[in-house]
Parts: sequence; C-alpha cells; structure tokens
Amino acid sequence: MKASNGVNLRTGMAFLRNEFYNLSVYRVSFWLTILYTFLMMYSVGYVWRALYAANPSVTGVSLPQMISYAVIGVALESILHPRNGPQSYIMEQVRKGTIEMDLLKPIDFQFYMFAKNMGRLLVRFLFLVLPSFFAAYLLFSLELPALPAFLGFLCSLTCSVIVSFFLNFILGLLSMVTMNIKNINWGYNAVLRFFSGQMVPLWIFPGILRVISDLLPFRCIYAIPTSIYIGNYAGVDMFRALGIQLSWILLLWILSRLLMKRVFTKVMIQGG
Amino acid sequence: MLRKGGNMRNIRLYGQFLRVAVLGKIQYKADFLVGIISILVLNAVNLSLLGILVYNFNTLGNWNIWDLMFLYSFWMLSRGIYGVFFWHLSDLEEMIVNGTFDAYLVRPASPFLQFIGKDISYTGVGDFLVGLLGFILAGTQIKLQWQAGQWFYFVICVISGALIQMAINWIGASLCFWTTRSGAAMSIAERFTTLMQQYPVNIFGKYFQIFVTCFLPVAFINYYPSMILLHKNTEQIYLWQYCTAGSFPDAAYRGTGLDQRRQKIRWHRELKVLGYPYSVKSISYHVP
Repeated sequence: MKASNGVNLRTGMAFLRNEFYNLSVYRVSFWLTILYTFLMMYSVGYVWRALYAANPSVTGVSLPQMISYAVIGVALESILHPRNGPQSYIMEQVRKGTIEMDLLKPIDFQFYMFAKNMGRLLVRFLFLVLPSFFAAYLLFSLELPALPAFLGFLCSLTCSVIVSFFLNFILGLLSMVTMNIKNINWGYNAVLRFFSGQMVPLWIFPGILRVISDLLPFRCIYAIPTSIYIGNYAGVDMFRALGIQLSWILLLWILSRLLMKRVFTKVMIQGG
Repeated sequence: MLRKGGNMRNIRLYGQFLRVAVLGKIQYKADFLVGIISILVLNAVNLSLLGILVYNFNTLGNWNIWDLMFLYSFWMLSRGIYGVFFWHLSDLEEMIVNGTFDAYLVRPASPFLQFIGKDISYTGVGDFLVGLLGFILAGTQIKLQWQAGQWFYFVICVISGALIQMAINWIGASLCFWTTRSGAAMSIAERFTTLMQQYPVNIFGKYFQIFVTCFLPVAFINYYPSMILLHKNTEQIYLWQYCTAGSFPDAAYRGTGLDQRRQKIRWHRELKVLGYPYSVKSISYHVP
C-alpha cells in the first residue's frame, strides 16, 4: 500500500460513503429491483419444478438443491450483473470528454474504479442481496448450507465479485479505444449469461460446451459460489474451485494492468 | 389519442420525423453491423440455453422443443417491430435529466409524437430476422397448415404484441417524470419480459398467470396466441382477458402524462421539483 498513489483504506471508505449516498437517492429504483428479484425467484423456481416433473434425474442434484441454485443465481444478479460494473461510468466519462479529470486525480485509476465499484456493490449487497436471501429462505424454499459450505460460499463470492470487476474494467478500457461500448456490453452480457451458469447449471451442458465453459473465467462469477453453496463442490473440490478463482483473479489483474498501460499511452479524448 | 391538429397531420409529421431519423442513422455503418451481430449472439444464447434444458429434459409442461421455438420466434417477430420504432424509449430518462426534453415542449407539435419519431433503430431488424428464421424452422417441423384467417390472426397478434411491449416500456420510461430515474424500471421490465417469453406461462402456476394476464399483460405477446394457433386449448381463454390486452397500450398512453393538457401542469411541477434556476412562470410554453 503506497500512500503516494492514493491506494489506502481511507480513500476507499470515502468512495464507499459516496456511493451509498448516490444509491439512496433513487428509492423507486430500489423497490423496483426488490420487486424484480422476487418475481424472478418465484418464476425460476417454477421452471425447475416443471422440468423436474418431466424428468427428475437429469441434473444429479435434488429439486430443493436445484431451486436453491436458481434462486441464488437471481439474488446475486443485483451485484454481479455487468450493469453494476465501472464500464458504463468510464464510457460516459469518455463520451463527455471528462475522463481526463479522472485520470488526473492523484490516485491510481484502477484502484479508484475498484474502490468506487466496491462501495456500490457493498451497499447493494447489504440492501438488495441480503434481503433477497432472507425472502428466498422464507418464501422460495432456499436451503440453508452446512457451515463449511457457507464459509466457502462467502470466500468464493468475494472472489467472484473481484473477477467480475476485472472483466468489467477491461471492457471499460476497451471503451476508451472503441468509443462505443453499448454493443460490446450487450455481447458480453449474453456470453456471461450463457457461460456463467446463472440460469442453467454448467454441468448439464453437452460435451464441447462444457469443456469451453470450464476454460472461460465466467464460471467463476456465478457457477462456483452457487455450486459451493448447494454442496455440489465439497471438500477438495471446494478448495480446487477457490484455487481456480484465485488464479483467474491473478491472471486478469496482470492482464488489466498491461492493457491499462497500453490504452493510456494512446488515450484519445473525444471532444476534450 | 393525439387530439389537436388532426390525426392526418400527426401521421404525416411522424413520417417526416422518421425520414430524418433514418437519414441520421445511415451515417454510421459500422454500428449497424455490430448491432446486428450482437443481437444474433444474444438470441443464440437465449435459444441455446432453452435448447440445453429441453435437450436434457425432453419436454417442458407438455411443450416440446419446436413448440418452444415457435413461442420464442413469435415473441422475436413482435419485438423486432417494437425495436425498430420504439427502441429509444429508454432515452427519455437521459433527456429529462439533461433538460433536452424541453425543446419538444416549445415546438408546435405533440411532445409525444416528437419523442417517438426522434429515432429509429436497426437492432430490431436483427430480432425480426431471428424471429422469421425461427418461425420458418419451427413451422416446418410442427407442419403448420393454416387457413387465411389464421395467418391474418397471426399478423394481428404480432403487431399487437409489439404494441404491448411498447406500452409496458412506455410506462417504465415515463416513471422518470416523477422519479427522474427510470433506467432500473426499464431494464427490469426488459429482463422480466425476456424470461416470460421463453417459457409457456402455465408452468408458473395460477397466481403468476393472473399477474401476467391482467397486470403486466406479457402473456398476450406470444403465449395465448400460440396456444390458439398450436391448438393447445387445454385451458379456456376468457374474453375479458383479451379486453385487458386491447386497452393496455391506450391506458398506458393516457395514464403516464404525455397527454398534452396535463403535460403543461405536470411539467411545471417537475421543473419546480428539479429546482430550475429560472422562474417557471416567466416561460410560456407553447402547447398546441
């Protein structure tokens, strides 16, 4: 932690507070998100019930486990959807030509974005994800995990938030080059939905798709924490899964640092 | 609906607005390609996820893979039409926040018409093509043999599906007149609709079916029409359900305050809330 480039806890806390105020302004959005999460939890539960009614032995896990999987996928969307990443902020600043103000700040740009984003996600976690879990337990038959699985889930969720940040940040860097990220964001969103295992668990993917999904970082985002929660990865499997997440964090961190250096050397500011 | 000035004038104006929008769009060709490609990817993802599920489980509430394909492409066709003309509804939020919506209020034409005619989008073309392809594919597999009446009903349903989506999104977008932020509402409606359109509604249980029939009538976009066209009349469809869907777009338009007479009052109130630096009374809006 070097004080010279602003990487310290106090700066981080300041961003966190700021994000909390930002979010608390828009209360209607908050209630709508809660409503959406409830509707989605209710409906994914029914999709799996209908599927299990036709053929209960396909996934290899029990119906309550599968419903828990699906419901957690929905609950985590409040923090893991790319909409909450830093890339839309970066894009907006590039478009307005005010990104230079962010780059001139006496703080490392990536840490700045990270602190800002973590503030946002922490607030969303406390006020959206936790109530969703509570509601899911009461209303949508979410199962409670064993203690080791629960601890593993918390570690894994932290990792998945960081992986998701790095991927979003890399998209944000791309937006500095391409000037338009809307369509790329869409494509990313689609790929993430497919290979992250949010809606459909990756282990029922047929042959080649399963291999591809194993090689991509997207499964770190939803599939690993959720599988740990429902007890599908236990013991050694759990630690291996955490190891995979950590190595992706390292890889993406190095990648994003290299990319950031390259982009900044030839950053062009639209209209600035 | 747009009373002042006569409907013919409004339609002509709308045509002119669209012409200008198209001319503006033609400038960016690269954007066109990327847009179409990302739509194709998105649809491929939705269809493959559904495909993987049905491949593993064989059926979903007595709908097989081709029935579901039919359901999905039905939605895509109407969504394509919606997308071409109304994709920019989500811009309303940004225009309100930046104050650029004001320009529409001082011009001698309906603000609603100007906003609707502001832009045209080709992402809808991608959706429409996917829908057409899926429809042909599913149609040949199901071996559809329709009379002229059924074709007519199909086309009407696709168009009204587009209007229902427009109405829902319009309600979402115009929330920002009160809250200044509507992005969340719109993306929620969007994601929810996407989920609903992929699966037959009857698997979600009774209460949900009532919800998507009477309150947020997304079941009318493709589920009820598909049930009739694929002869899946396992349940009865009551007339009153159709009444809900028929009146929905109109109710949406009336209820959300771009009705011109109310607009003026509401806008003044909004300006006060937003704390505009100038006195609201000193500006006389020309509302035709």
